[in-house]
Amino acid sequence: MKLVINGQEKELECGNISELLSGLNLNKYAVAIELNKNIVHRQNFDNTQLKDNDKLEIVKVVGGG
Amino acid sequence: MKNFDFNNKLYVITESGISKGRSNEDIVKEAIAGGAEIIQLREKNWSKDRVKEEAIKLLKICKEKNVFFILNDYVDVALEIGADGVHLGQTDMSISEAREICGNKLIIGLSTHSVEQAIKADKEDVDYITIGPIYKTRAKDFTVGTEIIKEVVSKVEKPVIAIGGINKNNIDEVLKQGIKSVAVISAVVSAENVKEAAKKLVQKIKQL
Amino acid sequence: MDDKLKIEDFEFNSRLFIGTGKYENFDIMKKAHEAAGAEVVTVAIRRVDLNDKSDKSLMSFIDTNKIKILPNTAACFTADEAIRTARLAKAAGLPNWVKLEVIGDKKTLMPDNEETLKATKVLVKEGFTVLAYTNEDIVYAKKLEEAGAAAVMPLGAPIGSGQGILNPNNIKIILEQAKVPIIVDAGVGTASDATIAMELGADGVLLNTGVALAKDPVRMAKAMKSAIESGRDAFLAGRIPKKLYASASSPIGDTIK
Repeated sequence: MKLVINGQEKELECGNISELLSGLNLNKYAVAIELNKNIVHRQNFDNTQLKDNDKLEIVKVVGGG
Repeated sequence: MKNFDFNNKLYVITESGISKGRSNEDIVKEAIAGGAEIIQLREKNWSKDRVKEEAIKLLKICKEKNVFFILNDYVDVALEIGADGVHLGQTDMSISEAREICGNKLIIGLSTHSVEQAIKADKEDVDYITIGPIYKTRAKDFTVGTEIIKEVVSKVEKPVIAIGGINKNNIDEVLKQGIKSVAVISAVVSAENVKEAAKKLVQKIKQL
Repeated sequence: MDDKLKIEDFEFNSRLFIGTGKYENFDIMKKAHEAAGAEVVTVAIRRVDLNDKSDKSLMSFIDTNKIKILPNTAACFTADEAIRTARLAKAAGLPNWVKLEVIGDKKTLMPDNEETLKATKVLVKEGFTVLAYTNEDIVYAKKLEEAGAAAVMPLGAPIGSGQGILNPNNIKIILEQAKVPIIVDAGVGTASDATIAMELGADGVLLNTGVALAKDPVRMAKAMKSAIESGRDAFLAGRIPKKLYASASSPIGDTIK
């Protein structure tokens, strides 16, 4: 399916958000996720299925003032 | 009852916020390579789920190297994953409650901060106690000092492990008081070279 | 001797909030935080770089047993972006408070007060403790407070400009009318800037560039710590008034002739 992640188009085989994060080699405790402009909480990563054309923002904590 | 000799061992406790770019797994592998024989996972700010996932990973590493793995606070998780033991503080679940949950399947350790607390713990169904913080640490704003160690060691039958601000510069003072084993966090976790830092401490501990 | 900084349910001994950005490396950042005696550090929320697998985690340089992390909404230009960023920070597991920044101009990084006010109302309703970054506009400072901001943070000078407190008079007026803590945020370039802010009566100072880009950040962090403590003591001590003419310190009469 086609996903837009952080503004980039990606073709990925995947089911739920946990699987997506594994596939991208991301630690689920180190990120926060918005799916189609809605926050998905960590406890729902396993049961949130992704579909074609979903838009995701995956963010993390970085240095700032 | 699990048999484990708590004497003459280096006990390393994790603290991801001061590990300076290394993961708990990295730290634990290196600490064990340096001779640490007891590892405790302690992440007070993490969710229970996150602690459990991490505990499973670290337990695997410890099992491969025949190192004792202890989980801080979560008796149920420690039991579920097959950890060797659980460590409790003065304000966590009581020893009797913990024993009810795990029976003899887990070693139970307890933190104490005075001679009175140590003596009281000795009478309960714990397998080891820690006494501290001996020296100033980041985490606690009080110290018990080295003077009480001798008294605790003489009055307590169970294994006593000193903890709190111990590092290669003051460990001799602590060992002189009759302590056989020492627990550290920053001295190893924040060290530039974790393996070497652990090695130096183990050398001092095993000399006795 | 209880002179703690209280922001809604949060209490701090240190009145210095410091950032985590712009340091040469995280080791220096950590040492600077220690030298500053920091109890609060700010962080930003950014998209993960999907192509960059190297990640020396910032979090492994922040002892969250001693330090509370304050997420910011830096580089947000609309209330909507800021609100989404605050929610993401909360979802990432950070404490339920936010330094709300909504920027109106890219060159000066001046806040867009109208959007900041909008975002404040929404976030306060959602239960966030909002620390609202603004300028020295006394009307907006009051509006932000009335909208439920837990603290109002007027800038001393543009972010990273190091110019110090450019409008002390307005900051003073804001302090007079405020019922919530006022924390001077942005523009602090050196120790005396921080002292001046505290002598005006500010409840705290938030800085980043002044320390991170100093030639010796750890030493500057130490300086800022003392500066803020001195400024606070001086303010509480009650200074003498400024006079046009002299007033001798030694007795006048009985001098030899």
